[in-house]
Amino acid sequence: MATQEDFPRDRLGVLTGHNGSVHAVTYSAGLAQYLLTGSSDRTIRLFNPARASTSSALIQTYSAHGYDVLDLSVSADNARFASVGGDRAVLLWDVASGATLRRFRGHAARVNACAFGGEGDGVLVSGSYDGTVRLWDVRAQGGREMMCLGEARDSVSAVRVVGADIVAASVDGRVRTYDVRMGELTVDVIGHPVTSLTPTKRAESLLVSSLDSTLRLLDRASGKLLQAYTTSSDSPHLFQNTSYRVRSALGCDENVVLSGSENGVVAVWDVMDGSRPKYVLRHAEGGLERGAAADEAGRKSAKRSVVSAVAFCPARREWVSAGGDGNVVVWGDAGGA
Amino acid sequence: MSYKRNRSAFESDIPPPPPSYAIFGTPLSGGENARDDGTFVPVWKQTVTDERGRKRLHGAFTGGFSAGYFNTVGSKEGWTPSTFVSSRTNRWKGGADKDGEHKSKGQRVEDFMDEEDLAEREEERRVRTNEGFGGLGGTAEEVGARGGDRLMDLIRPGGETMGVKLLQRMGWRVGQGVGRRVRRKARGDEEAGTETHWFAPEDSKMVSFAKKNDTMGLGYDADKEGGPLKKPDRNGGNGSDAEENEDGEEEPSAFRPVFKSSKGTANKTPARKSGFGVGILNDTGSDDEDPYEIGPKISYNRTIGGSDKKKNKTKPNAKTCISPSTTSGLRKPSSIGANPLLRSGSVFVSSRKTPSGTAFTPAPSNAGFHKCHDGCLPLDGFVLSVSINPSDALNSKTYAPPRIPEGWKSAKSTSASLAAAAAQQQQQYLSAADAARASELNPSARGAMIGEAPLKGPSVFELLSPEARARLDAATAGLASRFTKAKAPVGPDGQAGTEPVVQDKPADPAVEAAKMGMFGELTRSKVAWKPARLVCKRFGVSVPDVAEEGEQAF
Repeated sequence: MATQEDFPRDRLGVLTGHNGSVHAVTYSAGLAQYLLTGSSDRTIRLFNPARASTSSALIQTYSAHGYDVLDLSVSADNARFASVGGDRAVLLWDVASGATLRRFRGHAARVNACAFGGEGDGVLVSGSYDGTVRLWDVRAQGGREMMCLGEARDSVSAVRVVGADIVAASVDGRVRTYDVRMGELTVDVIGHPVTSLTPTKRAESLLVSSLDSTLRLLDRASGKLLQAYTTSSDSPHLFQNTSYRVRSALGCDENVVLSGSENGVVAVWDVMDGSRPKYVLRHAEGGLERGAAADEAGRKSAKRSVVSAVAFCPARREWVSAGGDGNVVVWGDAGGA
Repeated sequence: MSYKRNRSAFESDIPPPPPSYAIFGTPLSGGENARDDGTFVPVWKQTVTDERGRKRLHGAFTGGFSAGYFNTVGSKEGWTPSTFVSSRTNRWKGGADKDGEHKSKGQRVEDFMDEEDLAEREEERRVRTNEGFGGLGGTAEEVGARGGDRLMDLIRPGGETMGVKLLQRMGWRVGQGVGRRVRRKARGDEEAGTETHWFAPEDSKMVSFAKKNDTMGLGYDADKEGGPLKKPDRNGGNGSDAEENEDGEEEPSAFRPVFKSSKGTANKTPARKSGFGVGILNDTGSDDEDPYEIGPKISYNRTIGGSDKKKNKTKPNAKTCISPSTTSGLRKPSSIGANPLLRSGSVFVSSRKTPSGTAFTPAPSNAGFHKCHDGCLPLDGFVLSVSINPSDALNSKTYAPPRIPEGWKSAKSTSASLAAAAAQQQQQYLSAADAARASELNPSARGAMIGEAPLKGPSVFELLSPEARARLDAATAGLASRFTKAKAPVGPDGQAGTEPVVQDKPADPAVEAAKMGMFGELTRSKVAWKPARLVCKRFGVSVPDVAEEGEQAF
């Protein structure tokens, strides 16, 4: 048996085509053979990651957003997916035909996050810069809003549905869990703006990213901190997250914690040890672009070097990183897994 | 009596006598050999067309319908609609053909327009200014309100004058007059009613500086007087010439008949510039009026030159013109000679008027020689001015403005000088806000400066009851927790960009605990939350039994 690295660190290919930073990546459900990416160029692309770096990687492009696409969520049956973005729209798409099935209107500002939930994915949850979390009825004709949760005092940056719980993270530094079954709202104060949520498979823990360059794994039942993932003080350049929304993920059967970073790298921690990243992988090949001396170029390259999203494939040892340069890098084990 | 001839006798009559025809009607022109040129067409072909070939006689107002086929309907077959021919391919008959030639123009709008329409069209082409066109001095109505003056209010003082401000403070509004209130009926409504109200007086009209070009007296109103013809006499009757003339009005003469109405002032005839008698517009509908009975009463003067009685009172000697040396007092238009149409008789010109001392000069060329409009010289010591243009008067040497002595400074300051002074002062000027900012004193220091004894005793808070204090504290805390200081600006675009870094007040224990890393009970709080029925349904859970309360924001 070939010795496998504990973490797939080989660059398998690059999915190109987007004309702006890629804000969201998500694998399809089930076998996770496809990858959906949403970008600031207002398009959503469906890729086949196995064909990365080939011309046949791109399968379809969905264009309906008037502004950046900020988050994507695929329903469990792989037939539909939802996208949200800067144009305050929450759209429900049919994957095969590429048609927009629903347009949910209601948010007053850009929509930052979305997630399917409920029985048969009949509920779509969206969180917006306007501080509200809205629940939409997918089944009803015409897109009806079921509920609007306005407890957050600032922008809602991430939403997840865990069973019958709706978890919303906000820039006001709190994670709110709405328990539909028990009729209870649980507020966990994190202290810093929260930008990403990743529940574990068994829903007992929650990985939370915040803008103090720290990720925290919290126990959902008690609210206690299980582990904090950060970089050591003597090497702060390894991982940085203080300004932009950067997504994190759990991978390798929840043995590793990955996160994008603002300095163009992906930081990977072992789940048991969060003192410093185990691996730091550069997203862009060849480092930062040349000629970044001027201020404008410097600013641009700063945004371009943000690795805003990472996603670990639930079915195999493969993961992707999406960056401000518009590329999505597919990582895995070279030579197949 | 006719008789029968035998056949031979009959045939032997050569030539046979011309048959005697009874001729009716007019023979056709051109004789028997004339060709049929189609001038006489059968009835069914006779259509009336105008000069442009359009059919006439259609419609009730233009002669009656000539509908249909011989005044029947439709065509030879009866009322059958003509078959539709599509003009899609032949629609545009104007322009050039493929050969580049212009064929028929097709249908134009002008084909369907008659004279009235064409005239209207031409009328539209004429460019006019809109009603209420704002020319110099305002619209026509505004200019009229000022008595035809276009220049009067053209240049006004900038801003409101002090007088206007004072008036407005005292309740005056623009357009009102100044003075006591008047009691009158409300204007503007058609049914004003009979009740009177207090109104502001009318605004006084500005004296108009319209030039007087006529020789009518001051205050002569052409509209009121109705022209040089005498207005209707109050007293009526033909006599009493004497009274009329004492009023100074023109006396009647043979050449200018005067019309009097016998009805008096009760009957208001509208002032007319021309014409006399009753017209359709003056018809009041009163049947008592018999136009033939009343008629204009023309009164002719029966003596030539008027009666001597009148003349001696007021008029000067008829024969001579008033020469400057003999004039005293008022100037009256002079003599009435044998011909009253000539206002002046012979003119005697004094030799004194000639500056050079020479004799009579027929064509005056010097200023001093100019005569007034009625041909007489001006008063002693006066000289008729050459031009009436006031600006010329200003430019002349006699009326030049005084010369300003050197080194004189005006006591008043212009806006320019004020601005310069202000600019200078600006550096030294310290606004109250700037002064406040610059000061480093606090209340107690200020108190010490002015020699105040420092305040002793409890603060205001202690004067309040405990409940009030608690309320105040809670309110401020609640409000304070709602608002946070934003550190970084929020990015405007949709980039998952800079979220504002929110810093909670350190007073919040949960945040403190989180900062210290003590997650758990200190950082967690639970509140009851009622999900919507449909949400529960979609989640496949039963609706939880939660009492809904006013929720606190965390």
